[in-house]
Amino acid sequence: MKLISKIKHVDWKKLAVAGIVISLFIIVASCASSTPILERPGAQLWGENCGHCHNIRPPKSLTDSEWDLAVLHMRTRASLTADEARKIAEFLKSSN
Amino acid sequence: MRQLMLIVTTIFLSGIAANIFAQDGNAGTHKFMLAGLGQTSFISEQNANSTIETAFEPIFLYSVNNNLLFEGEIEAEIEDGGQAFNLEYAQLLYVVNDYLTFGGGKFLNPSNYFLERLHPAWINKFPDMPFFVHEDTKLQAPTHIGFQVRGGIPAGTMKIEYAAYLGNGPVLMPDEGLLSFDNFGDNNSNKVVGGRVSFLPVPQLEVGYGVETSKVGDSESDFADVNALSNTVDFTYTTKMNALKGGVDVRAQATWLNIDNPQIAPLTYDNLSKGGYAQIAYHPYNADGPFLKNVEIAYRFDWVDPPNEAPSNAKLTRSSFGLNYWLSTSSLFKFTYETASEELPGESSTSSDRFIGQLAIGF
Repeated sequence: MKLISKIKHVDWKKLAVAGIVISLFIIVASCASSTPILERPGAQLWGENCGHCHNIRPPKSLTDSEWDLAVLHMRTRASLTADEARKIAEFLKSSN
Repeated sequence: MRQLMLIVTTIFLSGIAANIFAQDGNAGTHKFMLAGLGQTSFISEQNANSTIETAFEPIFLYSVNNNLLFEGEIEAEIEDGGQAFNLEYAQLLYVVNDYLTFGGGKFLNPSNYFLERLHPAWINKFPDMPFFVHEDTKLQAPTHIGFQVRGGIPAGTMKIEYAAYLGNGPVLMPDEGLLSFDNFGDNNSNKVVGGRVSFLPVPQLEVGYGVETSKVGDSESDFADVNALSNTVDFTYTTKMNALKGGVDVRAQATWLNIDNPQIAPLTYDNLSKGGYAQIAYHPYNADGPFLKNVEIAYRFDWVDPPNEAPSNAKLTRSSFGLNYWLSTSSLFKFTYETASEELPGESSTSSDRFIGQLAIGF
């Protein structure tokens, strides 16, 4: 009953509008060709994951050792998978 | 304060030494890095004196190996006419396997996407925080002290992210009808439990849902059984548009905080607070010419809507117009004009404007 009483506070009209907007974004975004995550190269994963929140930093801005640490930090903060973190670190260090 | 500054200075110098050593000789297996940010703001507000504020927030990263990381951030600020020195976060993280990381300590609230990932000055498109995550409105805890698990799981072209945590939890302030998030000690044995799950159908798009719940009353008080439930939805769409020679960044988040009505004075009203923001930014980074490619324009609308019966019951809405100039990929000038409206129940609204200029750098 507690849960039901809290659900009644939800503004269903606004939620419906948000749902429609999000659905439109999904349709538009899905038009772009997409490779399975596990097959994406490090450069692509770097742009997609890092650029999701902030400007991507040039590979040469940090040393290899610093990139290892920065990627581990962001792996935990941004919930990267192990494969994504490994490929991004390898790409950044190979471009250094 | 002096002792703390001495500690910070010592760690800062040791960080420089570690970096020099790492570049010049045997780098070893342990790694240390100093990151962080700095920012200075000029604020000119209607009917108030203009002021200048500044902050320095070093982040210390230390890894024993590829599975074990310590991260800590100290926040040293001069704002609101005073000086503040806070431990923003400090936690030990252990990568258990490819899809699971375990952490313990003080950490940024994983259920709130803005607070966890977008609030640093060089990432936030605006020089201030949206109302609903500002410390004065007290809708959501910025940090928790406790434990968390988190990770990301690929599913073909899609991805799912998750986080779950428990911690000391917020503390009820019955007279104000608000929660305090200074949870350095717990006021009851009940722990806050929360989490966030998000879905990325394509890399550009993320839709997330965060929730946290806990008993918030003092264990010895009449409010011992009062529960707080917070729900948050977030939306992110970032994409490169060749036709616009740049990138477009759309973000939105909304939070509902419901504190139980125990029908015990002074909490005798339904205590549901709402807030959120929506934001769009455009950065023509592929434009011709060295000036235009560094320019970014942004617009944000944000609001908070507390219950009418609450002591702090002003409904706030605000529109912010931002013009940013990027000096590098992680440093920028921000020029923001804001017009805010405050409405009390049964009264006409009042509005105020302000201008903020900010220089921010992330390192």
